[in-house]
Amino acid sequence: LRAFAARPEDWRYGYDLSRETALRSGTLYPLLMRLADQGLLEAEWRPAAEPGRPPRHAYRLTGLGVRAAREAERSTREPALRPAGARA
Amino acid sequence: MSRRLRTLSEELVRQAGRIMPAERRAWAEAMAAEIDHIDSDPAALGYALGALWTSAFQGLRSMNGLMSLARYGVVAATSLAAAAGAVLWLRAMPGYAAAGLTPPAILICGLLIAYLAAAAWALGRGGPERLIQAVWAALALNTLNAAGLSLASVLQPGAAHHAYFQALVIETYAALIALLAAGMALQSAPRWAWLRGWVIYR
Repeated sequence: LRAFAARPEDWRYGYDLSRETALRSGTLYPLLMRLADQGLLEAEWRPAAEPGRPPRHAYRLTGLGVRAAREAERSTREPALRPAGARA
Repeated sequence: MSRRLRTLSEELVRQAGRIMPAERRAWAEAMAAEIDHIDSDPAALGYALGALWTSAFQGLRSMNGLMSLARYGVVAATSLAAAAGAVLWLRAMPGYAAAGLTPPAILICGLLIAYLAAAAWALGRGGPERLIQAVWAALALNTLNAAGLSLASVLQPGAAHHAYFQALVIETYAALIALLAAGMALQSAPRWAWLRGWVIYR
């Protein structure tokens, strides 16, 4: 989610995401499928940038996905910002 | 070497597409298309292996729970029948005359146990298709067995326990036909998926 949230408007590709997140394809694709099932991710076939190559399946966060990513980011950041011993 | 790695990667993603459940087929196509955008051959191979793993895992997840239960139920019942037969067979071996068994009967029992064990193994390892193949082979062997017994009864009309052997052959046929029916029912189970939905959502 963090990788997507960095540039939420951009369409991203599987191999690029795999390199960026250091996740192997066997880990990355089940995550992408789960995000798509939850309506957090949209996918579409997009023409390749280089001629002669096949179209690629591209992904980006939906509006719901962007909100979920921000929420996740906030929830991971907040405990670190909270002073030691403070209650929620 | 590099060309071979690339060919292997392409073959792996093709196989990944074959085992991916139908509702996830677009994802398999997505993974296959991505391979053409990976310039490094070793990286493409790693990617293809991950795609294969993803498809296999999705296939396992989509397996109908009831179907799995039925499949492993047949494996368990068949294994138990084979184990029970093996125990009886071993008990009868040393003093077969006392148990009313003669060498041909022991042979038929042994074959039945072997058929059942092979069928359980085939179903557990390869699914209903393998079970059906194993049962067809066993039916052919049993038919040969029955033909041999019939020939023996013609050549030796007064042979002892002939009716008993025939009964064993018929029982073997009954067991194998039950297994064949189970295999065919499991094989055609996906066609009846609508019935499950109908029962659940009514």
